[in-house]
Amino acid sequence: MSEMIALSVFRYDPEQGDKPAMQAYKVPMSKPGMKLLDALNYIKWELDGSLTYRRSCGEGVCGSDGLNINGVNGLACITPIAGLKQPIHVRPLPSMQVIRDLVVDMDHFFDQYRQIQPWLKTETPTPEHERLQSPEQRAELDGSYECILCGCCTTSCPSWWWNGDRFLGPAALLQANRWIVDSRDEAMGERLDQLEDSFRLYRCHQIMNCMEACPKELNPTAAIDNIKRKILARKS
Amino acid sequence: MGGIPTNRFGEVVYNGPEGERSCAGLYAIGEAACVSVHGANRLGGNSLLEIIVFGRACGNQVMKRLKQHRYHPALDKDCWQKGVERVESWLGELNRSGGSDCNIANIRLRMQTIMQEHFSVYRTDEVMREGVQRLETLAAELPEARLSDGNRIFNTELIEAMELENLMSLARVTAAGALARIESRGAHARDDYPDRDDTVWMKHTLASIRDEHVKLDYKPVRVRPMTVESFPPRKRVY
Repeated sequence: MSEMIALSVFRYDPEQGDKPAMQAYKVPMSKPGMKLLDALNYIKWELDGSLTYRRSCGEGVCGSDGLNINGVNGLACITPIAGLKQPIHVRPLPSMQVIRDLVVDMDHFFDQYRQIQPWLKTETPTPEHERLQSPEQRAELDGSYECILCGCCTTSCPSWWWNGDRFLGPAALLQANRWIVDSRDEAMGERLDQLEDSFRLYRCHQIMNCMEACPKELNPTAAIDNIKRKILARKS
Repeated sequence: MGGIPTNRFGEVVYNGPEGERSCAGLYAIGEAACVSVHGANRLGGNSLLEIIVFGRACGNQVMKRLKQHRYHPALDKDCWQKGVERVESWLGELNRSGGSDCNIANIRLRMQTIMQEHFSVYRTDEVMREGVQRLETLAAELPEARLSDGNRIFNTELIEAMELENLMSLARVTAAGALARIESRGAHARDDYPDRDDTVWMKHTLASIRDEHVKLDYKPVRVRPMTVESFPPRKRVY
């Protein structure tokens, strides 16, 4: 008999309309280094086909399985079972509308990402070859481009819980900064204009939950700080 | 390691009675496509070339076509029915029969195991022949599979079931194509036929499933560049 893992998983069935409830499961520890996603898959494939969650790549690249795990946001696929206190409480990302079980509505989150216009904006004519960057200029993007938009940071942010309708949140702002520091982008002024707003940007109060939550170990607070500094610099 | 057959404009082609025809308005590029400039797509950097050269060519072709055909041709008004029927056939027969052997995850695991055991890196006729047989037996079980989740909101078990149907078709054509190809080429490495045979086998496998049977056909590889001399294929050595 192998070691059993105890889980307590958030369930909500929109067709029944009953209140959400936590459901207990027991899953065998099947392999060393087993991740939380393996346990969820075991439940779905062996115990209860109705358990619903998002997953795709299974290795921390796609950002589909952002969950609240024992109260901390993270990706199920790269969270080892071994380090978790049992029963493992698995809930959907906080402050989000739940569609079903662990699946939340990401529309508003992605809409806020779209609002920062995450593409290269240029005015100068397209060069014959490419828009080149020096290795140093390219290094400026380190710490921003790795973001996989899983939503772990934004949904851990108390400011976003309160003002998520207007505050863009750490993920969108980290990406805003990614284009501001890109040497090839020529729309920094326009980008800063769009962000200079008491809600869109300045609801960040350096709580730093975002940095704590990020499964890719990025630092959205530092990126937001950089945006604030850029705005301050152009004023003086 | 195949792909959807296309011409050099990224248009999907098929073999009709009058030879190769293109399917107007339907395109494939990159890893999905097989333009046939390399012979067997995709090893080495093939997919990169497919994207950089034929991705652009395809984009140009799309623009050209859109200028002449701004709107989609009218769809058959019953065209949605097949898709709905497919979903309903899963949702309609919930939990009706079968034990745990018949659930989606179990059949998928058995399919993965067969592919791993019989069509892995080094292959032989005997091993693959048995694999085809096991796979066909398993594929016949698939219609017996049942969902345990009948919810119509975000039903991921239903998605997995439909993916399994697609995977099963791909596994069957992959297996049949591999067994039929009595040579080694690219990632198809046979212990019983270790050499590449360009006289017979320098051709693409075209596989289809009709009336529940896998049917194989072949088409030649494009070896003639348009503006430069072609150079003859050589043995690939490391």
